Amino acid sequence: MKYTRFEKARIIGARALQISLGAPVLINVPENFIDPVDIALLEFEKGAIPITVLRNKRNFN
Amino acid sequence: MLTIVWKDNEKKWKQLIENLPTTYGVDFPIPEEIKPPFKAFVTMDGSNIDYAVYVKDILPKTEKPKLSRNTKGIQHVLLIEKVEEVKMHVNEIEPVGKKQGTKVQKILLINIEEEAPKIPVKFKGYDDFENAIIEILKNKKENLPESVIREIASRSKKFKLNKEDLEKVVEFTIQEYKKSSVDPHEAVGIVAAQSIGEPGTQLTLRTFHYAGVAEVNITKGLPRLIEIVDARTKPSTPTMEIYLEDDIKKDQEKVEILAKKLESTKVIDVADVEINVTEMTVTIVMDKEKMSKRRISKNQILEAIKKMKHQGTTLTEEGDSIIITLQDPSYKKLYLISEDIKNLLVSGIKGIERAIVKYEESIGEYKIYTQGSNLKSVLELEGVDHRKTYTNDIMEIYEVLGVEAARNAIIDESIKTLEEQGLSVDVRHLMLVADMMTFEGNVEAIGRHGIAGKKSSVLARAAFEITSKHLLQAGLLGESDELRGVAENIIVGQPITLGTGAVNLIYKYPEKKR
Repeated sequence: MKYTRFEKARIIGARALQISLGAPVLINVPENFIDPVDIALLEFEKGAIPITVLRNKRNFN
Repeated sequence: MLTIVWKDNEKKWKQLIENLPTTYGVDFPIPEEIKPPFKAFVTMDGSNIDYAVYVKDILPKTEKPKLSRNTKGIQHVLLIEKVEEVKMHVNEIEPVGKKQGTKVQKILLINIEEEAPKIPVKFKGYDDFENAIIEILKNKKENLPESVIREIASRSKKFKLNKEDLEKVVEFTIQEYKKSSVDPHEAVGIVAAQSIGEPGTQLTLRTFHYAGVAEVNITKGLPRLIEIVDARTKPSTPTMEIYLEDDIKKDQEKVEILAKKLESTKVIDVADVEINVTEMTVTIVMDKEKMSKRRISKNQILEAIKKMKHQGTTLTEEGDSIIITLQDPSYKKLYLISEDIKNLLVSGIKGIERAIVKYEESIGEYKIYTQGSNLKSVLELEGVDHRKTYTNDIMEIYEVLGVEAARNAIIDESIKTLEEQGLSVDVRHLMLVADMMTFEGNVEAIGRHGIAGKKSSVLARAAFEITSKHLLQAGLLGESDELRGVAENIIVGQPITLGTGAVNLIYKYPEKKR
């Protein structure tokens, strides 16, 4: 599934929040990577974030 | 469509079905509006429609029918071709006419939606280039709109592209197409509003401007834009551009005659209307010079006056004047009649005040520009090219040609208005506006009376205009708000359903590592 730019931003944002609150990082990150947003971006690129989007939410109601 | 329903008894009806096709005498009148062949309905119990009857012809009652509904009082003989069983409840049918007589109480004039006649859809087949493009798209598992495919084909035909080049073109087109498409949840409405609003500040406020055509003035700039968006029933300066058929478009004289025919001429334009108080008459003094200029004969004026609905008037001719005498004259009546006569249309098309012939050098033909517009009547005229003739009255286009045409007119008119002022606004913004105005099937204004007033959410309506009225009404009616839109959620203080706010996250099971 290809994400829209809003979905991408939302996923990375949510993941960055988790990391900033102390969640274990799921990939190997270089030593100098400290910023949770950078880490989340890297995770997203590698497809390691366990988050996806629910589309057509209205159809589920 | 109008049709009739009648009640019949089962015995007789079975007999009829067995003998089809047959003639059948009926003892009720059939309204004149109903012309054979038509489809009528028959009920057995008076509440359910049981049969549909295909009546091929109505024969005179002198004809002897094979069967009849009643032995006496036969009024029409129907030639029945086919009977079909149907299931319909009478409640679904809306009676539009009065019940016809006492004997036939069960007969109603009804309004039914006839299945639309099947018009074969003319599908323009694909030529070689178009087929090639479709083939390439299929291989790439991509898709492009029909119009884009046809456009590429017609252009590549010009340059005689070979297969490889065509493939490249298609590839680039797909890229461009994807680039120009918008992400879901993008706030297109706001972007459109600002993209039109900002250049709108630079529009002139001057209402009138003399266009290239002699003496026809057109509303321009901001007032015109407001007019378009408000979906007014009549623009302040309606105009038409009338294109002509091949056989007359190069002949100035013939075009001039046609133009004169278009111009509506009132009695007051060619004659003086005076009230003679001493003799209690209305005198119409014709002006020969004006009449010959407008090519109007005395008879035309007489004819027009005769068609008027005033009763008890007599006309007498006296040289160049017509005298109207009343049976029981009063000052008020005289005044009313003289006013009516002044505005009486002698010739021409209603609504068209002036018609100017202009030679269009770029296309090498004559065109008629008019002040005032009446698309329907003009299109019916002989010599008018109905494919190109244009009016700037959007509501008229809607009435004559339909919503899709009106949508295109909104886009064209607004872009024209903006371009005249040297502003370039992307069409897609205007297309969005036009779509919003027309998507319900009729042309609606933007704003309180149109789209904004029809929003389903109470809070959104209250946020727009007349807050208290909407809130009060919602309270009285016990309306509820689903909080789906943007304005509602801002009022409540929730994230809005746009952009990232519209994304719903869920947990994704990590894929197993292999």
